[in-house]
Amino acid sequence: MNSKNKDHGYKVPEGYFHKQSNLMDELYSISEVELKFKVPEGYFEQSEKELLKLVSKKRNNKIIYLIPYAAYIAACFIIILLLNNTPEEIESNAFVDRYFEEKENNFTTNELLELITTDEIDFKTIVFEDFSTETIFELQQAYDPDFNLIYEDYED
Amino acid sequence: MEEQNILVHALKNTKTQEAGFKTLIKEYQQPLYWHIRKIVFDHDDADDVLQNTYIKIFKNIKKFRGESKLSTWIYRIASNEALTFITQKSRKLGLSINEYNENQINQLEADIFFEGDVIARKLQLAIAKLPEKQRLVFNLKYFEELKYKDISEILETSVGGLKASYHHAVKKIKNELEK
Repeated sequence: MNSKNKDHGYKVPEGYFHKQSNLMDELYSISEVELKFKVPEGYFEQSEKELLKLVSKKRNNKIIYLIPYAAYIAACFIIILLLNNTPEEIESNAFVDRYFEEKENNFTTNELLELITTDEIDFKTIVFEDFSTETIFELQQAYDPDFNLIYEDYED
Repeated sequence: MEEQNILVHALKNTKTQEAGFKTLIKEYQQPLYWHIRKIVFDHDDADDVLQNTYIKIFKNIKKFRGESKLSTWIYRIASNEALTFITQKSRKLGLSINEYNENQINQLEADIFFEGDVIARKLQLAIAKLPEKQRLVFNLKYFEELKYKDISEILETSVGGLKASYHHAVKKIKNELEK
């Protein structure tokens, strides 16, 4: 059956295809814009060396897996507290100790995240080894509700 | 595919990893840089994101099982890193992502690494105004000339959805240019 000669009955607005082709012509000029962005002279050569150095450094550094997550956040919180407060202030922050003791560290994700401001910790540096996809996604959402891409599990 | 398998094998093997990364950097450094630069606009930001991308590739290469193309997997990491970067930066400045993008474009005039004229800036502004996903689809399809199938793997979206996004993006850019 040759359907090519059959009238399918669909129509397009007058000049539609011409307009589409004009649109592509107009957009063609956009590709020129890419060339308007420049990089400093010798950037790619220098960057190649730096990237190699970076990767070599990473290879030699032992990755510390920060598990469990709760302990990591709690530790961060204590370190931030120690760095940002005088001994007197830390003493007066005894409620924090009590809070930790009373709760027996059974924090929910949100409680833990509320303890510290997001500026103090780079969420991306946490290594998620033993967490399920859902848990990671929940954590990511809790950390950044605007984050609309998928969690950072780069399995293919 | 055979070439990719060799490279992936080299990247996963401790003894050949360094040589593998050398090849990977040589092959992807420039396309990845330009892909990132079109998302973050600023050269220094693009440089930071490029470094983060390679670190993520390095940390996650063992999870790559070869079920997708290495290039699409790498582009997915770069896109994610670039979007995370602008999300975090705009939040720090108390701006929405769109406001942040517009700010970046308005600063192009003073950017020594941008040589575009008024029209070029207008075009970049039109692209910057697109919602994130449409912008990514537009960049990958139009500038990188990737196939829908590959973009679909990078963005984990159906081909149909991508075609619709691309169509909307083109239309919006045209409307912006006509203003």
